[in-house]
Amino acid sequence: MLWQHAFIETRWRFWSGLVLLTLSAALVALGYPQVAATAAGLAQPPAGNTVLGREIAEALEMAKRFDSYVWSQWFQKNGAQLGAFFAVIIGTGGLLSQGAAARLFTLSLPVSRRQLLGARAAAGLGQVAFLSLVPALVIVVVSPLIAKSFPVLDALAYALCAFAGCAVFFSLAFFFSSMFGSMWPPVVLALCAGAALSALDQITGGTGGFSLLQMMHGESYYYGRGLPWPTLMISAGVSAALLYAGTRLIDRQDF
Amino acid sequence: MSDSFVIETADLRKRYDGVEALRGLTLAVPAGSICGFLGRTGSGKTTTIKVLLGMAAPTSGRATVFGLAADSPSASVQIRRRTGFVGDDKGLYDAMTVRGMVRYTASFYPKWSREMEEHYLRRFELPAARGIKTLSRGMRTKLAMLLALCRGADLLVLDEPTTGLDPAATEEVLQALVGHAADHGTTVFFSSHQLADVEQIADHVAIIDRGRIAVAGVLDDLRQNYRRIQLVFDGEAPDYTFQTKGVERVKRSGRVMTVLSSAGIDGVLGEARVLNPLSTDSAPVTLKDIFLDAVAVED
Repeated sequence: MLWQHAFIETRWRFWSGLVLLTLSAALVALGYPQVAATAAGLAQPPAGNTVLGREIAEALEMAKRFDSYVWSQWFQKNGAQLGAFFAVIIGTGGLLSQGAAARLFTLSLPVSRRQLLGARAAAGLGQVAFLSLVPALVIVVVSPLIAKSFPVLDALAYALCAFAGCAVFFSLAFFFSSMFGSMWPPVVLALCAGAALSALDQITGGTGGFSLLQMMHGESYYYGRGLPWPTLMISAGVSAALLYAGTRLIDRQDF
Repeated sequence: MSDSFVIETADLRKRYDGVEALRGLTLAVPAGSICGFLGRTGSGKTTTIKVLLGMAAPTSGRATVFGLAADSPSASVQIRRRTGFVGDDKGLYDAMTVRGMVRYTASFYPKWSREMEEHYLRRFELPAARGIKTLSRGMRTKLAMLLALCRGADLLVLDEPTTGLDPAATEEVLQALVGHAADHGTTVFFSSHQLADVEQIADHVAIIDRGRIAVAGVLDDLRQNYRRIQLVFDGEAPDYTFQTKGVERVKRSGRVMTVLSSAGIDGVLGEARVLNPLSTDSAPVTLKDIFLDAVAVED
């Protein structure tokens, strides 16, 4: 029943995320014929010696193949950004942001604080897993509508990478929620952390297989290097550490 | 713990951000009693309850419930399994319906009584399908009481259970509480500002003032032992300090001296005669008098 309550607490955020991500994924896939036609209609790609030029050239190159287009537009961009955003939204809340009275009721139940937070973390991670998996599978399902196909295995691999990255964002929001009673500071801080990571990737050009964002995008899988297991493991470790730290903070708090 | 006490604290202290909420609280609540926990706002009532239920950790001292240390996380879970709690804000989950809230709470208590649940749903006229958010304060209190009563608890801890209720709802809640305690032998520990509620249902009283127990005992004994002695003089009442034990407070007003005694009434009367009053009158006092004396508020 703790799970049920944890789910109820975040159900609107979850359903909103699921609907938005699923629709966006479907629209990205179904929009491919139009994008491919537009790309083919461009006679000459712009010069490739500027950043913008390189970006456009790369996008046009990606648009030549459906799987590349889907990866670049969904798993690398829209899906990753929306997924991280909703992971943060779902990760906020919990004991501190419950009303004072409801919080005392929760704390009067015969369960430990660790069980309470464990259930919330598990329910939240479950929701984040759904948000990573369902849109990826929707792409597989709608692709035949435009006479294309997207391999299920690839969708699952990208979904796993997306989940591992989103889990870090979720855990970050969970951790900050153990420090702030209001819902917004954890959202802002976790999103700032995401923006900082993204900026770091832009500046350094990524740090090989150990970039959280590159891992989240499934870049190594796309370029045929397989799943980035070390980064996946590190991400899982970071998530676990953040969840543990958040739980410890709540454990020690007076209400 | 001695078997006869469900709640025991010894020299319990709690400090929040430099403020001492509890300052050596020593309390014992006998098993099977209905103990009214009285005190002014900010005297430490809610903090005591939070410490007993593991919601706040004591700074020092000892607090046990059912003989289990309240500050041990694992023992605290066991304590809460046997305890029904109603907070002063009647906190419930607004996103749930009445029935959903009942089912959710029931899932934590193996001894939950479905029969009692149906009984109280009818008795309190609680609309099972209604959302918690739409309930009036009275309805919320009744639902919170239902949730506390149906779990088969050995101890009920209630923080200001009747605050904000109209007299009819207050009566209904108190009657349900007394009936339940009588039928099941449940110990009830309830904090209140309402002296009338405490006088109506409590058999034990503990008065807390500035984080310490000022008066505690069996309510009837307190009523019997406490006496107000009024001495009238033919001139200004003398400024006199009583030596007899049990004199709690002396107040002078013109020709009248009023002495509040908690014990040894005969000794106080004997000492008073030395002052040669014109008349001496001894009368029992109310809980309000005892309370006001304990918290040192001039009446």
